[in-house]
Amino acid sequence: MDESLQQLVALIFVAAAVGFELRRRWIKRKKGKVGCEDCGPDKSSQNSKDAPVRFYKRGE
Amino acid sequence: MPDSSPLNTDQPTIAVVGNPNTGKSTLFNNLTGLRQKTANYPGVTVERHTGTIHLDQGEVTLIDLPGAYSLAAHSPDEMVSADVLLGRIEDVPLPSAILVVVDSTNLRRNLFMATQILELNLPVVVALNMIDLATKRGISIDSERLSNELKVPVVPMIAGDATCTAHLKKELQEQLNQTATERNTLVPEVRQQAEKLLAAQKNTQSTITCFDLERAIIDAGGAAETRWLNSSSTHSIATLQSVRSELAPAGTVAALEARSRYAWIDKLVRQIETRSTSKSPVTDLIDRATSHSLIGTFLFLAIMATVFQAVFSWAGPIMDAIDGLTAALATMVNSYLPEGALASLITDGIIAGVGSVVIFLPQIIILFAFIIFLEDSGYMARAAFLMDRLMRACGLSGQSFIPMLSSFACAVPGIMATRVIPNPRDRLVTMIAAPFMTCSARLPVYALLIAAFVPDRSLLGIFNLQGLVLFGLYMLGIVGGILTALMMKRFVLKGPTPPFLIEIPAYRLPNLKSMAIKLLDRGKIFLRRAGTVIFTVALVIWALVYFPRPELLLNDYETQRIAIIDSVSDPAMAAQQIAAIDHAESAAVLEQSYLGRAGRTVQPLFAPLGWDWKITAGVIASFPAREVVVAVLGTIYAVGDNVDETDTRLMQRLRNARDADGNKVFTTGVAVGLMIFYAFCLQCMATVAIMRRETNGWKWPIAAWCYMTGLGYFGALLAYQLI
Repeated sequence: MDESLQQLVALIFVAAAVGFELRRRWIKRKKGKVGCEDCGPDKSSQNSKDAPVRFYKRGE
Repeated sequence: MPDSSPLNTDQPTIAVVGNPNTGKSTLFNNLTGLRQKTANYPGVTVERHTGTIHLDQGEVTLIDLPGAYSLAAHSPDEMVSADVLLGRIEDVPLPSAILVVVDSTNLRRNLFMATQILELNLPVVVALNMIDLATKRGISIDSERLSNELKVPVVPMIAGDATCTAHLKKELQEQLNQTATERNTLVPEVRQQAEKLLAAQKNTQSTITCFDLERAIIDAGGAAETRWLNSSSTHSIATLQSVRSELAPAGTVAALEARSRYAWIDKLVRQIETRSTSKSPVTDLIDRATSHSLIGTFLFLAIMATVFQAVFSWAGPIMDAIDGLTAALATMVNSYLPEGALASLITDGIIAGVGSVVIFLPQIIILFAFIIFLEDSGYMARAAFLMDRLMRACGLSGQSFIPMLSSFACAVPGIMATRVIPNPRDRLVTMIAAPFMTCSARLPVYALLIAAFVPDRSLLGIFNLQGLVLFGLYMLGIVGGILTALMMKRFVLKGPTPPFLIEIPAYRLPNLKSMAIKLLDRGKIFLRRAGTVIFTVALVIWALVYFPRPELLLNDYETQRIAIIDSVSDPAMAAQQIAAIDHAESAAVLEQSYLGRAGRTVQPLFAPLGWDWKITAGVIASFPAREVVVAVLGTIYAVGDNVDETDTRLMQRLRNARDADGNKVFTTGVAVGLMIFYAFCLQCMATVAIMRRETNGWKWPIAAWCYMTGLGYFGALLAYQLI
């Protein structure tokens, strides 16, 4: 495979990867998920159920 | 990634409920193992944590509900818990049974919610958790009698004990075959009023149940009240207030409920629980030390310093192994593929870019192993108590510590955790301060810069300098956040310091299985990012660095190489001269690349910080996600290859990088400036997005971005100019 063909294949690969990632993000956005990959509102990176403390207002 | 797919409604469901710190999630992890799934409840941002257990009758779904102290629903997670238990969630069936997890060392308080749940009339099993800890503390509980009084099975539990787990599964199995049982309420006067109101609304289309009405009467301002008011135009707050005044003329109905339940619970506890008077001197001693303002602070700092020491010293061998693996992979690819764009794409783009980030996985795992251990052991609650004093000095309270603590993993859940702060001003201040905390994305950047520029030597024979610098950077983030909060509370969002009440859980040895599951989750998150965002960015950066190919320039260098081969007879001398030409060629090609041109265009803006175009390009590319800079530098220095060929690891390449005049690119001032820049700058689009969502506007996220980026810039400027 000569260099020009290699460059073309490489560029197609890069474009496909970018397209795939954009599509993945678009789907995520469409589902209404805001935030980073795995620690957005839909999943906190620390398990919220393991939170060691709870807060009370005075008088409760 | 979490999804929102519905549960399998064909199989029975068991809801797991309990107070916080009862070991509920550990028990859930033990029962379900890796057969877990995280999703959202429809329409809300509350996690739905489900798992599968195998009982005699087949597979059963377990739902781990957020920890709560009562069924009074005020916050979104409490509303979800109540809705699940009432079968009101669209794709979650009414539980076939409820597993109530109770802390044996704190039976009285835990039974409060247990009695509320019993009144739902569903089959219930009570897990008397941490019974071993209770025994150690001289607490003896007659579980058989407790079972007779509650009229439900009670299983004493020790986390991780197979016999206990088997016993619990057997009881759950039996309860699944039971039908609903009508149980008496402990607050009959409220039940009577609820029934009256229910009878009065018979002609309306309302779906409100007697339980809803009871909660609406008891919980003023709660979710049940809102639901009842919204269910029909004939319902008014005046009706509820009239009922409440009738029930509790001199107080609140919530207090009436508490008095009634605790009267019954106290009587029960006196019958079934005996406590020896001897206290655990060791626990008391530890608590006195950890909560002491001076000793406690010293201990906290010492523990954190040890953690960061371990991050550097323990991760080394595994990082070397990953490095070796990526190098071997690159060699293998080069041996199979001819020299050219494809080989460069795979080795310089994918392997160098993604590999330069993945290499930090061991450090991430070690750091989180410590954090999870400290959390699960009960120490972090003490740290929150300790931090209250410091927070109070800034006009905040320990309430702000938990969101900030969460931000050490990621600022996104940290900002979301600010929802527990009732005062909007304090919430906003905490939200602005939270991104200063060192998130896991900063760790690879710090680790790279520290390993490259801080000597690996010991200090005072105990401390490792690299670990100390990392600790210092974490402290820098904390100080930056706290000072920001202080300034905001003094000048922008003035207001009184909120009160803070905290539950200090018992010290306990964390369950290894539960810890392993959480660690696995962290590792998966990191690798998933490396396989998606980092992978794509590495490819794009490679393309920007590799193209355009300047044929004339390449031919010119090729001609020079041929001339040397033809003219120089000494092979060693020829090789040396060819290597010099190779380096010059790499530098020239890199400068003419798209990234090189873009970097040089923006570089004047960062020239006062001492950054060359490569650093500038890396920093600019990392504004969406800060750890991207590692992959960008990895790709630039792999394609450029204008450093010593023996420098396989990126940190060595950075250390030896020289500019066209042969001067070091990364001087001490530049390296320190970069660390300060990354400590302060808000390079995370996800954080900006979540801040916009939580503040319902762009004003605060834009202000935070400008402030933090400005702070990072001037910090780096000062470091470069002064060092």
